[in-house]
Amino acid sequence: MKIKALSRSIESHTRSNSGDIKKLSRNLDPKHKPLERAREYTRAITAAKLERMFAKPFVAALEGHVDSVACSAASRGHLCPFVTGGVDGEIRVWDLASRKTVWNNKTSHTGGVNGVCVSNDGKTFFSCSSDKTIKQWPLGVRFAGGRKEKRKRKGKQKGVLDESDDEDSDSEEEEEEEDGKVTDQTSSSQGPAPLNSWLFNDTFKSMDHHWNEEQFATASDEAVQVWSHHRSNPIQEYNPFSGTDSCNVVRWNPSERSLLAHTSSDRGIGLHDTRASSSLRKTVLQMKSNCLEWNPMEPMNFVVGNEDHNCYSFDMRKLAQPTMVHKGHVGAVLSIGWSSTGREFVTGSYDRTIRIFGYRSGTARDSYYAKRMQRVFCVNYTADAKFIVSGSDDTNLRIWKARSNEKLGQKLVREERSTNYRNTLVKKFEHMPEVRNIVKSRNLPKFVKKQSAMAQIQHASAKRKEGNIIKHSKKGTVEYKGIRGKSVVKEYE
Amino acid sequence: MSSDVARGVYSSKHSKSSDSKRNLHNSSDPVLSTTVTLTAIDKYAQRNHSSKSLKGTKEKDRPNGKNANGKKRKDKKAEAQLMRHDEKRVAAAVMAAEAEILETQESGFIETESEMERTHKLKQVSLKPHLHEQTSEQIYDLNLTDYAPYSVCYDRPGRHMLLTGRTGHVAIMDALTRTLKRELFLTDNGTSTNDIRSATFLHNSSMFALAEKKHVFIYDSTTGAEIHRLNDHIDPLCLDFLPYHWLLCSVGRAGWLKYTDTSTGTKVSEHRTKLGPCSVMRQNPYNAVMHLGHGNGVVTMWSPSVSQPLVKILAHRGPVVSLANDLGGNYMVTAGADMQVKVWDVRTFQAVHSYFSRNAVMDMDISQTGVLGIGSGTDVTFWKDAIRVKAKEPYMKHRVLNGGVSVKSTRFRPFEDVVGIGHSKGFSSVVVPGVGEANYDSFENNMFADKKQRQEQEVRSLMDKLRPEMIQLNPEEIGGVERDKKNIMMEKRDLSAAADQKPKKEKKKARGRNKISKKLARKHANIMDAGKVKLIEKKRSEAEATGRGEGFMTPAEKKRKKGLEEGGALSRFFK
Repeated sequence: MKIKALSRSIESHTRSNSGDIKKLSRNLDPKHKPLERAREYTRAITAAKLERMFAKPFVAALEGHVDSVACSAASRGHLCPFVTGGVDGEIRVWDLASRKTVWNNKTSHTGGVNGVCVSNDGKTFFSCSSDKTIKQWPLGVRFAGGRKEKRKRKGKQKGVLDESDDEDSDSEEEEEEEDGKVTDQTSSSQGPAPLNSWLFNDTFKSMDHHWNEEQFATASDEAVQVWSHHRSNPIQEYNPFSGTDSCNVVRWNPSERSLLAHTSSDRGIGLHDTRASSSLRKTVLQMKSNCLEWNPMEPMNFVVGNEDHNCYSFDMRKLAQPTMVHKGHVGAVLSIGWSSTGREFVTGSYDRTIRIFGYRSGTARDSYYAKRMQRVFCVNYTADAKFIVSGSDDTNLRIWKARSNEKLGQKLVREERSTNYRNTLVKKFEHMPEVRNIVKSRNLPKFVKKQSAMAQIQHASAKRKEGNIIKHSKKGTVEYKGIRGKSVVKEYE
Repeated sequence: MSSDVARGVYSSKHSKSSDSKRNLHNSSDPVLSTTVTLTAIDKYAQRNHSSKSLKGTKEKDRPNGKNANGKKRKDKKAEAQLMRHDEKRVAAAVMAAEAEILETQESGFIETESEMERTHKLKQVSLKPHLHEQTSEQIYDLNLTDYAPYSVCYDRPGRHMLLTGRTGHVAIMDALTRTLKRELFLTDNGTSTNDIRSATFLHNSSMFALAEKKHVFIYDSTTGAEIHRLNDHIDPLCLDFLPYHWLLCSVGRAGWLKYTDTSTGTKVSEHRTKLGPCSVMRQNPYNAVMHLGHGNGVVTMWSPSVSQPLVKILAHRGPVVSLANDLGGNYMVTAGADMQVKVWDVRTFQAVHSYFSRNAVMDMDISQTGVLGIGSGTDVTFWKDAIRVKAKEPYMKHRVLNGGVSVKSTRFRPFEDVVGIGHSKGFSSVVVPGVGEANYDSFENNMFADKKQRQEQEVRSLMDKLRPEMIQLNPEEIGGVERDKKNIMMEKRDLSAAADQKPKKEKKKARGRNKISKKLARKHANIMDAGKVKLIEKKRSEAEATGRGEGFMTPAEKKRKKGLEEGGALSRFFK
């Protein structure tokens, strides 16, 4: 007879020295893991609670501006530089890593700065203003984002470097002094001179730099202009669909080199091809759109922030109706910033909150507010999609985490693994009321809460009314229109 | 279910390709790189128990694109999500099955070399020389007559053992090293004797509970100090502990089933069974439902959140004496005073088969590998494969101390091929190869855990403590989609209507087309059983022998031939 019985010795299953790793044995058979689903569900609830417990999105408030921050722009190629323009005509360049102003000019414009944009090479930036001028400024100051980057730039940037950059090899202490000096110098009444400036016969509302070429576009009261770095006059000018009111926003498409989108105060959204002399398309919404941004990863799609508190996602090939309506704000949406992943965008609103939407979700994933934060005029994601920068009426620039519960800094492997596990569990059970209630609960300001409750009542009422109209009209004469169907008033080809 | 699936081979590469994930069963691909058996994958993939009440839930419907209510799912996005989820589930199952090769231990066995050898003839004395030294040490007897009879209980990893003598002796032993950790003598004032009816470890071996004459008491294993007296549990006869819910359950002479949360010390619920004193209680480890065996032969199943029994089964004619559940939660074995041992399918609540026991059964247990141990009289018999199919003879037998004792309790030690037997003269430990699970999971049941790991485990299990409301017959329903109540009602109504319908009486026609013999013949015309095949073969060979080899045809073949020859519109049916 052949016989074998189990035999385990303590020596073979425990470590011999306290320095060794502990010996583990695995058996994945579900028979030995009873009630796994119930246990996972319990863990998911704990994970959801932890997520809310760790949700501390606010990172820092950057002081410096003396009036409202009207516009902002992040460099497309670098993490640290961030340019803001105030309604008093002041321009500041921030180093986001050290949270300091590295360059400022109080008298850059005599009117409010309405648009700033960083050039495609990241060496200069432009600003446009209601004083009918466009100015080009150097972005050659040093940032705390690592010396490597600086060195790299040194080689490339010869033409536009300012003096302080030439002393790259200095010791750290000296550099810090230097930084201080820079701020001191620039805060003097005179201010540095622009590299170039353009004078025009109209006030500017917005500007955007081309993604690849040395061109930029501006939106003015009369039309949309395309400018070259090297010409004093606009190289092209469009008066889209003649009779249009003033243009608000203009944005270059990230991939199509000659495609421009703009919004105008006649509630329209338009597309232009710079190779043709006329406009491509235009669609008119019920209310005016305040901002427009292209999705950087799916460049056929763009989102507009509207005066009616909603954001509308459009496919540029089908302007007849939006692909998605993003609801939630209780004030006009003033600014939009896309995450570099193209999966999320952030909106700043007149209701003093910031909301983060998934590119295909109708409601916000998260909403941020601060006690002293006023109307939010500009929002941007940083290039690593980890932070959000908002500028508001209260003259401060605020930095937020894009994922409110994410731990900053380097994580241990085990920590990372358990975080991933927790996130997966929450996702798995997100439809369960208990988990959903925890994950979605937000304490919003009383004003927002009241307004959104009211908006809900209004919405329900409108829906009921529509239903009644359909019910009491002749069959087939009135049809139900969803919110997407209602949002577009007219479309021009 | 999984066990019925024919053994096939399954390629891991194949499983990752897009279309094959849905039907595991169809994709037995002979072209293999890494091979794992289909049954192995099924073990990990089919988490959802198929029970009668689960008819038409998501698992079953998913491939058809139907929702929980049996309607076609319109939402393509949801459908795609479910598809992806299913794919992930199968991929995980394949990976888990592949990881089986990393398991270090193989389970024990006894292999006979000739037909004449019988495993149940093997005695512990003759088994001993075949065993590893450490395992052979596990064959021993403890002579403890003063406080006998003894009952035995193991903690979940199987490291520690709780020996309780009926009249007041409690010993906690390290079952692996066979050392006494603590000994208690619980006699009232040192004079009268105590009456310990039942004992169980709590969440780990550091604490245990005893059902004594008046109350349930909780003791500390290391110091032996009495920590708590549970005043609610009056005159208890039986104890059990639900480790994932941290619930201590007792049932007593008054027939009240009581649940106490041992992490908070609060009473969770108490149910009146209304079936008199109850001394048989075991949990179903699969769903944490408590199974109670009563004096009138009824087995009831209880959840703390429902005041009525979830299920009531009339199991025996006479009191239920003992009860055991298998680890997978599919089967329950009951023994009654009517000398019957019955195996029940807990999914359908039907008796699968039953055995007759010559002696009154005292205690039963089912091992992790599904070996049934029955303690009756002076013997303990072990039955392998006796649950799924009816076994003819036991796998092993052990006569305790060569007779002269009566067995009180039998328990398999988890993760070892060892059985503990408590009896009227103390305690015996025997080795039965193949009863223990070979591989333990350090994160679930770690018998070699050091202090730090034990502490960690305790905290984690507290954090993952399940709520008492989660105990239900099908634990996989948690987090699932609730079915439309209207649909459930309709289904129930249809079922009851069908059950209420009187069976159609058949006319006893004596002649004509529908006379009974013809009816039967029609019924069996297309059924090919072994006898029929044999007959046909015989006839065919006879015909060949007489030289009419091609001439013989079965009626069906004749019909087909006729149909083909005659042609016409109906010939297409005969191809």
